[in-house]
Amino acid sequence: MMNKTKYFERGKASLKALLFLPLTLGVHAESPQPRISTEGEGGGFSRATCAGCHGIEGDGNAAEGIPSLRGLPSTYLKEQLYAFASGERQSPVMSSIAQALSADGITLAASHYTQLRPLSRPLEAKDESANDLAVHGRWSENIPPCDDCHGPDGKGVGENFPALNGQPALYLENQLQAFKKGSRPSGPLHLMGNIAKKLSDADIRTLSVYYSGSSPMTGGQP
Amino acid sequence: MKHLMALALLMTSLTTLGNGLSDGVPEESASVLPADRDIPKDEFGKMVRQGQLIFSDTGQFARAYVGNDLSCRNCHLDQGRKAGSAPLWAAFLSYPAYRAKNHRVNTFAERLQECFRYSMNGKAPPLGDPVLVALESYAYWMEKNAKINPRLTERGFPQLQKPSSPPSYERGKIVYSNNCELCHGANGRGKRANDGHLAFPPLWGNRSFNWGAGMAQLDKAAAYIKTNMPLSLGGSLSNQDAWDVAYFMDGHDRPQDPRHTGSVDETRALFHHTQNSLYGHLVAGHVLGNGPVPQN
Repeated sequence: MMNKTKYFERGKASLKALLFLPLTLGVHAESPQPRISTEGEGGGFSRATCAGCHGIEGDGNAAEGIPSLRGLPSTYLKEQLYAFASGERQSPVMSSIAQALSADGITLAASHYTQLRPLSRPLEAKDESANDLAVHGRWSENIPPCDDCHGPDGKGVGENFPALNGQPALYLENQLQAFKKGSRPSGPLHLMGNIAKKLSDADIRTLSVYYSGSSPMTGGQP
Repeated sequence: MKHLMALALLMTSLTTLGNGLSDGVPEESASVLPADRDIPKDEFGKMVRQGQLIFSDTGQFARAYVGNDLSCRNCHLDQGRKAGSAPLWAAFLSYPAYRAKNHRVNTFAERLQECFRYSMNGKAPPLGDPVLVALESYAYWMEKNAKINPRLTERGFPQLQKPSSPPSYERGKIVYSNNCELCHGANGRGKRANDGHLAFPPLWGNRSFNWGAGMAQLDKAAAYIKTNMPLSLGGSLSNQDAWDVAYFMDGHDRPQDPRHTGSVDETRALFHHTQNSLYGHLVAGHVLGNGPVPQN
């Protein structure tokens, strides 16, 4: 109980501090900010707002590279919302939305999506390099297999290692690039930041397509 | 002095080569190990593949001989290829060899039996059992097709320098909480993936390796941790941190040593008479080896 209270207080304090942060990249000062009411029990969380981009059931949007939120760990979801709010994880849209959430709203959003059944797709390596990295890693460069931490077929492990399986390829590619460039926090123990820096653009593309469970988007594949 | 010599023999009998401790550069990059796609598509290849399956998911493919949640690959990284994590190809090259642990010359198959008895907390498959044949085939295939840097094969088990302060449970607990808990959990029981498969192995308790395993010895655990942990960040812990956290890990109870005589004191005198074993010692309020073993 103590921990919970502390967690909320910390959240509120950091949200207050955020009011003084400059506007995030790409949001024009003159355009109206998307604001969600922070009044009421929801602390600003509204399924309808999230559904606008993530879909009514939180399935995401492959063409736009918007992630599925279904079944993601609540600790992870909360961390991401706080990181969006602080600007550590850069996304113009998500920053303003996260900033409009209270600590309660963040908790509500996380607990809503974490209980939905996650997407799961059969994965098929289109070429050996995807399977090599995902299942075997590249230990000569100290790159462990993705599956070692994200679970077999990238289905996720516990509260800190989100599922990769079924996420849009474009989303996965953008995130690996963001880890590589530092426009997203490097994660627990800086594991993902360190690993992403060792991946080539080709590695990133191959892995992203593999874990999405979709056919490559180029080359006339159906 | 006698103890030191026994220890040295024990170390040589463990077959880890190359540690990459000195400069942080992964030594195995100097050796080229074969990829799975190089496994021949014939009868021998089938046995190699079977060995690889056993290596990857030991509880499923060698169920009768496994008594915990571990698989070979949990410690022998890169499916038995990675130097510094007791690679299979180096082990294959190192036998037959005399082992102080059982005072006789052991074949490679006999060495594998010990893995099942101690690290897997199970039963030794009989010599000639398909499980041993498959694992030996996998190891032989790997060694035969490796382009091994001879400099590596000359090196013995990596000996991690002694820490400047004696290893400490309290300091180790802090190192654990900062670096290990993320994957192995606050209670050391490891973590399962969302689909139920084991993702991160248990480090102590009833589903982990037993007191007879090499990893239950502080020097080996510290060297392993320093070289390989946290996963992908090998070499990042200080020597002191590695020793402290090894002490913390091995300062918890685990399944009984199968050589247990009925008395912890006697078992310690016979099989754990070294400062690298905490078996029989009072650590954090418990005499280790005397139960209760944390249930996971």
